[in-house]
Amino acid sequence: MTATALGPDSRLAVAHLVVRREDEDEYVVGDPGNGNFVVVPELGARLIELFAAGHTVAQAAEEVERETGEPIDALDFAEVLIEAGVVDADQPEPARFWSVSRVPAGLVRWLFGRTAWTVYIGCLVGAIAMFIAEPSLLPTYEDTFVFPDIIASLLLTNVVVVVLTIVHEIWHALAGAAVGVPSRIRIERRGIFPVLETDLTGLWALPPARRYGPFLAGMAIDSVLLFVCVGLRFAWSWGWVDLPPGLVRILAMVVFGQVVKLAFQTLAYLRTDMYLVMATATGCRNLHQVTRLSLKRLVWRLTEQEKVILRDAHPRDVRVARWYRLLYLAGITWMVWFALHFLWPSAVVVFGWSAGVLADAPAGSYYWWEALALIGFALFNLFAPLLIMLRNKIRERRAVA
Amino acid sequence: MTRRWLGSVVSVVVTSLSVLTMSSLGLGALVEVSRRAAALPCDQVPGVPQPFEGDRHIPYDGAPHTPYRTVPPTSGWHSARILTPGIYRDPIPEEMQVHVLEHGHVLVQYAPGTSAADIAALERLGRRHPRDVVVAPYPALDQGVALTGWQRLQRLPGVDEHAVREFITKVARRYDHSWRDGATDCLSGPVRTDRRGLPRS
Repeated sequence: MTATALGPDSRLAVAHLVVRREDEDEYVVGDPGNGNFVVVPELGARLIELFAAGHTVAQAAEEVERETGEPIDALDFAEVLIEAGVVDADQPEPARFWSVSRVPAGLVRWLFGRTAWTVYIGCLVGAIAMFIAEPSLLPTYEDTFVFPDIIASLLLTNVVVVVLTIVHEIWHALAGAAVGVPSRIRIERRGIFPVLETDLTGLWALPPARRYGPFLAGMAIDSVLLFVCVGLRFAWSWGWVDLPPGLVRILAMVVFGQVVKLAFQTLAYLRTDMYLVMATATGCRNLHQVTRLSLKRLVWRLTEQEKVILRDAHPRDVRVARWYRLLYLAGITWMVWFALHFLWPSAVVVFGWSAGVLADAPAGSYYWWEALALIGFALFNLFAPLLIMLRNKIRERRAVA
Repeated sequence: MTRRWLGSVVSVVVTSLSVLTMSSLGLGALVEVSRRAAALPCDQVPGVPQPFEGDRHIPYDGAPHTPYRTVPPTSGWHSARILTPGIYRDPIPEEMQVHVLEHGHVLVQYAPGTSAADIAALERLGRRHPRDVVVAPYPALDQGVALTGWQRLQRLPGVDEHAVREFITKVARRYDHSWRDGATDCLSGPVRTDRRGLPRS
């Protein structure tokens, strides 16, 4: 069946869809296989039930009209489902999920049981307690210089940070797998920060209470790694264990990375894990976009599509957005301040130092190449978010075309 | 707990965490300021003050520069490379030592031939001050231990844990790219020292 062939006599293949009541007169309908979900009213859920029972579009419309006494445009509803990607008009594309997220639930459920969560919370509390007991273990930027050699330090730090970020995402994926929700991994952007992200849209098929675990799973494993590294450094500092000095410096670098990652997750306005927790707890559907558009409306013209999003926003999103916009604005201001006071000055220092080395060091020497590599790295850090933004714009345009 | 209550509690917690994280840079600075005490008067600071020899970076490792006046150096031209505090088992180039001092840390360096037990004792002290101290061998020393801070030098004939601890706790962080909390270089006039950093009569 194709979108153009859709007519009153069409039968929609909806047997694979998940339909779950989210609220009064609100149902979440979606395909856990491709992660596309929409919120429909009760009549929509009834139509899907009738489609699943084998009714054609016209028959389902007649049945609903008979039950409610009101005419209903079932064809339009069917088209909405197709446009949203919930029902496939053409040959269904095989969903490409991250293999980690397809682990059988029974194998990983114990990682997210009551005992496991007690351990995760214990690790976070333990790490904080050690920082309070021994403030000299708190990380500083110097910890990223594992070796005197700047390039070697940069390489090791970046490799370790990427690996630990993948571990964070793997834990999201495993927590999703534990509740039967497969996921995808992708590179995205949060404000001025490039990020890896696990797409767990399929969680919408679950009741809210079961979504928290997968959302918090990444921070949970971060806490365990933080606890292990701080614990080892604590024990080493007090002379309880002997460790090679080089390993102690690597542990300090990992602690720095984990603390930064955990702190980043608390920045809810960047749609981090804590944002998802808050949006779920408040029962919001599209809080970030509603907030952003309601602010944009004050200073800029909205497109027709944006006006529709704002007009159709759920009342709860509108209510929460009234105070959330303050946090959002504070966050944007902070991000600009951070960029101007930290990112830009550190880039200037790197560029200035590298330029001096390029001018004075013998051309082609290790020091000279090191300066060149540093410039490349600083440029990448500055422009990576812009490149991701550009990529997303191109994708959006292609999708519209 | 009803959903509305849960939503309110989670919102307050998440918003507070966001604000806390955003303000942590400023908060950290405030905590640091509140903890700071006025710098010790010069007669209570261990070691001998040394004249300022400059604070510029050399353009690359191995680049020629004015020789240091003390052994080990306490200021002057230095490498741009950063050495994080900790325990090192190989000697640290002098240009890098000066950069360590410029960041407010203290160097505890021992002469070749120092016994394993003495090295272990020095490293134990270094481990108790992981944010402030670099412990390393220093082949240029004929004997004993050299303690250096920015423009500050103390030579010990052997390992004296009490003296090392005093130097670490009283000299570290007095200087970090500039003098801190009212600290000074403690030089009221030109101090003449020999190459070992000892005052000339």
